[in-house]
Amino acid sequence: MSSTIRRIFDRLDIRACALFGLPFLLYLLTLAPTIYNLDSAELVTAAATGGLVRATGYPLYLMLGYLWSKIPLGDVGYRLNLFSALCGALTLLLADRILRRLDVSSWAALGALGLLATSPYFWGLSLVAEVYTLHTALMALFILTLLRWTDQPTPARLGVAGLVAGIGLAHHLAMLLLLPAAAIYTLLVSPRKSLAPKSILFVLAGSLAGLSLYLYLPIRYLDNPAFNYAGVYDASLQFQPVNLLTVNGMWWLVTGRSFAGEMFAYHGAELWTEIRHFVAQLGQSFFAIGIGPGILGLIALARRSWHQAALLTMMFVFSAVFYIDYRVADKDTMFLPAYLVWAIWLGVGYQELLNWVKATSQAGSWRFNRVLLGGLMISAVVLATAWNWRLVDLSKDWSTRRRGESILRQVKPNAIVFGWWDTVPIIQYLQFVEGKRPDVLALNRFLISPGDLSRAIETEVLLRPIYIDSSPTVSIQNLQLQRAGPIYQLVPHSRIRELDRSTNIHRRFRH
Amino acid sequence: MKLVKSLLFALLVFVSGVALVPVVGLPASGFNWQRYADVYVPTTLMVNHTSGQPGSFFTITGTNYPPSSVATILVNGVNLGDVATDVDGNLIFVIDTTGSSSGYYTVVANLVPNVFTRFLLNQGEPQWPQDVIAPVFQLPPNIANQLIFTPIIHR
Repeated sequence: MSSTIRRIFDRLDIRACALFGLPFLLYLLTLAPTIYNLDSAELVTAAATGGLVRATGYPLYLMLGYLWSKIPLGDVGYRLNLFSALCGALTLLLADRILRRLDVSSWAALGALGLLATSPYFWGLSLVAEVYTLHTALMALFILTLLRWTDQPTPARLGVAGLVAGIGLAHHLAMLLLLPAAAIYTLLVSPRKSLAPKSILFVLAGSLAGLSLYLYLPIRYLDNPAFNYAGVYDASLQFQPVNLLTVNGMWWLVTGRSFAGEMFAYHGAELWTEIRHFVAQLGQSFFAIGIGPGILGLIALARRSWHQAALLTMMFVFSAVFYIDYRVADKDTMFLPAYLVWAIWLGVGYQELLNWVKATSQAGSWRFNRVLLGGLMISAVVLATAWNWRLVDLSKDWSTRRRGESILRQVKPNAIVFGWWDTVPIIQYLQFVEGKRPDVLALNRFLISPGDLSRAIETEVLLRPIYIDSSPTVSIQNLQLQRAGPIYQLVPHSRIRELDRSTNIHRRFRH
Repeated sequence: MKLVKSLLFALLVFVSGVALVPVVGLPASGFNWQRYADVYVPTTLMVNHTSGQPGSFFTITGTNYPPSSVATILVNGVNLGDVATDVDGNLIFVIDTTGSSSGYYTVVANLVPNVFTRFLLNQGEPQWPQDVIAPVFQLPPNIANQLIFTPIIHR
């Protein structure tokens, strides 16, 4: 019996278990207990109901999310939060496979990936339903397939890299930012083998197989899903879905053209401010301690294999530069690919420090020195965990569910609720996933132009109760806002006088 | 001695990032939805009256600009000066059109250059007084745009 247990332990990869299990446990302890707000609510509702989200479609997430939403554990929101935690831990496991290929020992890997796992944004985005940790897992897998191809540059292995790239693109278009680096890397390593017709054929076949996941979108479109963010509402509140059976429709959705105005939006001093912000955030993410050894790791890797250093540097630069120059308020959440690369450099840098000390140590003192340095690396992770826990812990955060339920309690039968991302997706989650208040129409203001919104309000306010989360940006005559829980009811002046007898809380539109 | 040197050097590299703390700081916030509630709320720039007589005052209000920043105000491409946004990204200023010629005026705050608002100065329109206390910019003369509607000829 004891020999069987010993054999199991011998086969057990303790390092892999630690690098997957410890972060996963950490994420479980701090996981959001129910549905979360903004994109989370949109993604969960779409995934669980077979719906469609806005650009860029995220078909892989919708498919996996649909399957994952069926596991009998907590509510549907919690299940998809758990999916992010799993993908976060999987990223670390795959990153460790990369570090092993770069001859990084357990101490250094635990220290480097521990800092990534406990960095505020990587940790935070592993606690709510989001697309980012699945993207980093696919990115780590992509790097791994490229390194495996380097060992043995066969067309089949390049085809596997193409397949992972295609799957990655079917999840998040940020995978595009990694492709130039991958292409240059394969050409640098073995131009003859990477340009061989058979290799090109395998890459194309693999990529197309991965990209075929996009077919999920038109297939779901054919089913006319109740939850659909790929389209717009007109002034009569009729939803005009983008036709995903046409090339133009798919192209509009997949390329994220609705966000094109935000790309490459900074210039001059503004751009400099954004670069400084990124550097500061990088420093904070690796708790400052990870910066020096990270730079050392890049240098050491460049000396050992400049191809691999070039691959990772290009991935880091392209990912960072694109998002530095992207004018959206939540871009802090989008730098995880750059952090993943930094964590790999950090692992190599830590190993370099260990190697220096080993080279000058005698057998007896080396053991002590390894424990000393390794202990410091692990201590940094413990310190970062303790510091960041209070910043990221969502285990008691029920605010989104409470907000949604409070709104649905306040609104009258057959009401329309107009709101932004912090208001409408959560109402739709409660309606479509949990079956609450199907009489209410919740409409995201992102999907209707300000002019159509004001025309719709002017028409509908005479027919049914209308609620809104904040003042519309265009003028609406003869209406006043009356507080209704976290939102406002729009009430015509004539009716305000009657209502004023019971309450005096109302606010006049400024515009 | 060699060991001590390499150990010290390794420790120095290990803690070198700590020198950055006064510059970059330590993490002060994590991911929470309240911070990003207005992520996709668009920037707006609005004028209180779409037309008025020369000599009117127009109040321009903007929302969801980069918070605590300085915006340069351009009217028909002419720089009128700077105005600061508040911590919520709002801005407000007044344009004094005394001595300005009739025509259309397009107002832009350069922080988000693709968002603009427009007003018309015309002798037949009402005269609007200043209605808020905010930075006032004097509109220079002779920068009005005239919109010319070309006829469409059908055969």
